[in-house]
Amino acid sequence: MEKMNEDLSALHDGEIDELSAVRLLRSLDQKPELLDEWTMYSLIGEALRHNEPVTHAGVEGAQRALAAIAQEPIPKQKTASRRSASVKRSWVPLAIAASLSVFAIGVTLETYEPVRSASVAVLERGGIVLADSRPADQEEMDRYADLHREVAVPGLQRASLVTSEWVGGPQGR
Amino acid sequence: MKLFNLNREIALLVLGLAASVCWADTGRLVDPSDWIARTVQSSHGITYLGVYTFSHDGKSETSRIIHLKDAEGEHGKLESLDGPPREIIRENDHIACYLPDNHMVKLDRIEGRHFFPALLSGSTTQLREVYNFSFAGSDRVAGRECRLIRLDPKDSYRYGYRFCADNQTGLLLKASMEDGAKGVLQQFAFTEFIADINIDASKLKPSWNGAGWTWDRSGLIVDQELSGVVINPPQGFRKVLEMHRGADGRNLPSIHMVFSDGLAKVSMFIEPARVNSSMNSESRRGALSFFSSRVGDQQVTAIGEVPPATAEQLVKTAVFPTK
Repeated sequence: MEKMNEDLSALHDGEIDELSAVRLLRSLDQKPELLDEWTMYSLIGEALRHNEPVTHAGVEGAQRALAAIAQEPIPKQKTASRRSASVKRSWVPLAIAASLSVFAIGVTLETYEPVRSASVAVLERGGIVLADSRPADQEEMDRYADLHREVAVPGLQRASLVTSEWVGGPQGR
Repeated sequence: MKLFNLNREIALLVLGLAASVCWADTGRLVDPSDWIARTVQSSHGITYLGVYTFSHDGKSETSRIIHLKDAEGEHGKLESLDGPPREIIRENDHIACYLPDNHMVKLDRIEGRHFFPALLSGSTTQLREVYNFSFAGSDRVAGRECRLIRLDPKDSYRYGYRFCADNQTGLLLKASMEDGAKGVLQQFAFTEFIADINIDASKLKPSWNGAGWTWDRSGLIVDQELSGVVINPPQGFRKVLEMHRGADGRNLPSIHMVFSDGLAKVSMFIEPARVNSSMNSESRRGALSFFSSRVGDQQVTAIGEVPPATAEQLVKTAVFPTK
């Protein structure tokens, strides 16, 4: 039980892997007392972040969401086929490296949509908005975009200077 | 009379030769695959200069490119014409990126990098595995006649492309990435283009000598030890590059892999997960899809000009070697 409480706390803090999260959420469905613990963590989180407690209706929404999650199969990691690790050599005119951008003095001109963790998004579908959703690290995504630009995109400028907003979450599909 | 007939035969022969020379440019290329192969050859084999625009997500970037092919190989210069000044100088398989606002020159190898108009890295055989080729008429780009070629994806793990290849040289004058539902996602197009000209070598020199600047040579180091991480990518995608990053302490991802189907590219980054890292996160920006997930104590991230499902599959199939 103590271990589950720890996991629950980790889940709330987003410090748990996806597989463990799904297992824990299944347990929540079977042990109402754990759900009370979850509610407590939510209330604490809300109080710390926004001074606004989670409503009872919201908790009911969470229960519905968890019931739905319990119906889902536990994801398994697919087995990847081993591929040659050799580096393919290529010859192309004027390959460009916008590694430039990596070292460029960056000025983020745009604002970005938040990206939420999967577990939070699932809970939101159930009708509760928990305060655990972390805003997208926009600079982080731009950093990856810049590194990708080194090898894939001919634009020479830093990603944050020449692109628009990230659109986060499943709704972006 | 006999003389007249001889002259007429000579005239016909000359006409025939002239016609066959013209025919050699495009007439024998009855299959779109031939045109695709020709674009690859010409992107390495001819001398040209031009200005092109890269349009994406409502924005655009303009660059001037000079490509010189001679007995010593390929040489080039690419310079940004808008925003902060940047230049890349190419000397065969090495490039030097000049960043004047940072007083830095970054040296790198060219492998794994494919940029307009040399977008294609795969063979036509590889491309045919995952794209259907077809002609789509003709067009005119930068004042030159070109042949339109469509590459339609055979599955949902990549976007479609529409190329316009120069009738005379075969070089890509225009390349659009398209999504059936959203239309054109990004596009490269020459606005000025001159081929087969004499280019003075002085035109290929950088605008700055880099004296007193920082010269970063870390990109020249060839990594002998690969990560051993196994990825099961969508059909047609192969790993074309793997390199280690972060050795210079700039908080960069520790492993950077690049997967390509010969045209589309996705970068994968593997680095130690931070305590507060998200379990899963995804995002899109124009043609760019982003997916990141925590796998054990590692954060695995994919980003590239592909549909979201491609980035997601790459991340979710990552298998780490047993320690």
